[in-house]
Amino acid sequence: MSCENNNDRIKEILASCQKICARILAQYDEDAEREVIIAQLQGELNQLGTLSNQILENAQQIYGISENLAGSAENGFNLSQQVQSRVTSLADVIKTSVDDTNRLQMQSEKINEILSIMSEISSTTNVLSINASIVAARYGAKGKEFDVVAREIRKLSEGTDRSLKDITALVNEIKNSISSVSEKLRKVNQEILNQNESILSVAGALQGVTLAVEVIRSVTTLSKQNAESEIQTFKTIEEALSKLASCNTTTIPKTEIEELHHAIDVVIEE
Amino acid sequence: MNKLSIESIKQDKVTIDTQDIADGVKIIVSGDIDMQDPSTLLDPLFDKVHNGVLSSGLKTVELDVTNLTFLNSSGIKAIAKWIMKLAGTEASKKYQIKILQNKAIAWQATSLQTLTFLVPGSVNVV
Repeated sequence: MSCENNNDRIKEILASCQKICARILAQYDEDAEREVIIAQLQGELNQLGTLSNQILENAQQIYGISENLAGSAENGFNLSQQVQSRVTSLADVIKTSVDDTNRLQMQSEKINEILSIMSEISSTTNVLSINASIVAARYGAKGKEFDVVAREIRKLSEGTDRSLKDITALVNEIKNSISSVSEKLRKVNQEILNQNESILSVAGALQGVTLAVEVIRSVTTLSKQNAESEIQTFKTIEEALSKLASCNTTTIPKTEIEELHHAIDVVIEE
Repeated sequence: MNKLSIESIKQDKVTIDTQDIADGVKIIVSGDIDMQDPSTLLDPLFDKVHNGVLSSGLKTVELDVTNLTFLNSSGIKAIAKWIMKLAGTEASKKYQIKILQNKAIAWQATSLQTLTFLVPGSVNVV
C-alpha cells in the first residue's frame, strides 16, 4: 500500500473519529437539556404537590366544619324532638283538664237542677205553712199552738229560700268561672297544637340540614381521596424523575472529548 | 316486570317499587328509612339502576320520594354515592336524574336541592 493511500485512509479514520466526537458532544448537550427539563418538571411537580396538599388540607377543614354542622343540626333535631314530645304530653294534660272542666260544668248544671227542686219544695212548704195558719185561725184559741208551729215552718222555708238563692248565685258564679277556665284551656290547647306543628317543621328542617351536610361530607371525602391519590402519583413521578436525572449515559468527561475533537481537527488540517 | 328487571323491595318501614316510564325508569320510595345501615339495601339497588341504565342506553331515572316521610343520613349518603357515580360517567353516556319531592315534608325541602350540585345539569329536583 502506498504512503499516499495510507494518508487518505488515516484521514478517513480521523474524519470518522471526529464525527463520533461531534455526536458524543451533541449527547452532552442533550443530557444538559434533559437535566434542565427534569429540573423544571420537578419544580412544577413540587408546585402541584403543594397545591394537592392544600386541596387535601381544605377538604379536611371542610370535612371538620361539616362534621361540626352535622353534629349541631343533629343535636337541634334531637332537642326539637324532645320538645315536641313534651309539648305532646302537655297537650294531653290540657285536654284532660278541658274534659274535667266540661264535667264540672255538667255537675254544676245538675246542682242547679237540685237547687231548683229544693226551691220548689221550700215554696210549697211556705204555701203549706200559710194554709196551716189559715186553718189554725179557724179554730181560734184551740188552733193557736198549731199556728205557732206553722209560722216557724214558714220562717224556716223563707230562710231556706234565701239560702237557696245565695247558693244558686254562687253556683252560677262557679259555672261562669268554669266556663271561662274551660275556654282559656281550649285556646291554650289550640296554641299548643299549633306550636307542635311548628316544632315538627323545625325538626324536619334540621333533619334536612343534617342530610345536606351529609352530601357535603360525601363530596369532601371523595375530594380528599382524590387529593391523596394525586399526591401519591406526584411522589411516584418525582421518584422516577430523580432516577432519570441520576442516570448518566456518558461517563467520559466532556472536556476530554472536546480536546480530542480539537486535536483531530488540527491533525486533519495539517 | 320493568325494563331493568328490578323487583319490588319491602324491608322494615320502607317500600321500593320500580316502574317503567317513557325513556327510562321510575323508582318509588315510600315509608321511612331509619334503619342503621340502609346502604346494604340502597347501594345494590342504585348499582343495578346505574349499570342497567348505562347498558340499555336509557336516558332518565326518576326518584320519587314524595311519600318518603323520613330519611337518615346514611340513606342520603347512598343517594349521593349513586349520583357521584353519574358524575364520573363519560358525557355521552350520562343520563338525567329527576327527583320528585314533597315540599310539605320539611326535611325534603331543605336537603334535596343539595344533590343537584353534585352533577350540575344532570340532576333536577321537582
